Amino acid sequence: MNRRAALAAGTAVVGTALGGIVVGEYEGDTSPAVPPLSATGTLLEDTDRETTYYELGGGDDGPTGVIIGGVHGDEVNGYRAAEAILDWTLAKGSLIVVPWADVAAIRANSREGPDGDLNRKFPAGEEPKTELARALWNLIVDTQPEIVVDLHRSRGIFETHDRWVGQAIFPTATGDALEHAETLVQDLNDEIVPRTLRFHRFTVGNELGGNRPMIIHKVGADLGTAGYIVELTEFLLDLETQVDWTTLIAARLLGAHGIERVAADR
Amino acid sequence: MTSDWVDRYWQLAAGSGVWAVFGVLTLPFVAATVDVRLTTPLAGPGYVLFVGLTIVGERIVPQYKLVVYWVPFLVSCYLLSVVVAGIVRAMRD
Ligand SMILES: [Zn+2]
Repeated sequence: MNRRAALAAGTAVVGTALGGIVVGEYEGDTSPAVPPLSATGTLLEDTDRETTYYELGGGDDGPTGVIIGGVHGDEVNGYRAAEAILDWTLAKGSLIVVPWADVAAIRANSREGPDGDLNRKFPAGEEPKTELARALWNLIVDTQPEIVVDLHRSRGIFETHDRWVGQAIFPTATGDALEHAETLVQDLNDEIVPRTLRFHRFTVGNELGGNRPMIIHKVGADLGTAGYIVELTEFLLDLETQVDWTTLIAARLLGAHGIERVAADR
Repeated sequence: MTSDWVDRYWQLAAGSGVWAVFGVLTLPFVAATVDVRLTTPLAGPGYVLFVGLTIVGERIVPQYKLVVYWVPFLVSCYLLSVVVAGIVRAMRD
């Protein structure tokens, strides 16, 4: 089975599991270029939490990044952007992509899976709280990443609406994540957010240092690795734009850490 | 009640001027929410009004999803349109 056939087989399984939510992205793909996926793997195989992850690039000894989507099952932009990244060809470095972290939550189109909110199962300095959280964490640790990016969206906008965190990038306190987040936010506001939509300008959120049991908090606290929570918003922003911006943000953050895609891809 | 009276209030509440202002307030903003690439400066007033309603509303009734704000938004736009069209009409008369 060649890579492409392996990919098709892998996504067919996931697509069925998700009731066709995601499968369309790949099955109809008639692009002549073979997707540069070098491998796929499975977390919690043969369980109802089973999910596929993908390895891209790896042709050089450059840095490795981890991209996570679908930690919250109703945050469609996150897993759609992660799916888009599966089509990338990398010029430098390599990537592990987990597009559908909480498959059960995605299937139900709800924030939480049967074990609750996946992004509250990662206390710093302790074992993750569920089997799925442990599997995901082990994958991250085994990857020895230079950067981990977790893709989300929020109901409202950070600092505009009291309780919501949309349109913000939350960097770990580790390394130069804050600096990269600041540069990125400025570029996004200059380049892609229309001036009229002033409340939708991106901001840098608070630094993540391990005081909350979230994946990226734990990445910063336990691994000392740069990590970012990317938060878009569903507020007044169409889904295609949410996905495009999420994908662009992931590309820029990865680029800042030396993982670059081939420009001709898109 | 004379038909003249009815006609006068009908003009005030639903005359073409009212709907013209209503369209200017809502249409460019709706376009921006359908596809962000359709955003123009004309979307600004509707955008600020909508965001303003949600900022206030989130403090009072935080349990509601933000899509419900389309209702008070459209009502507010209508009332604003009646006022603006009424002022224009009064200045012309
Ligand atoms: Zn989320």
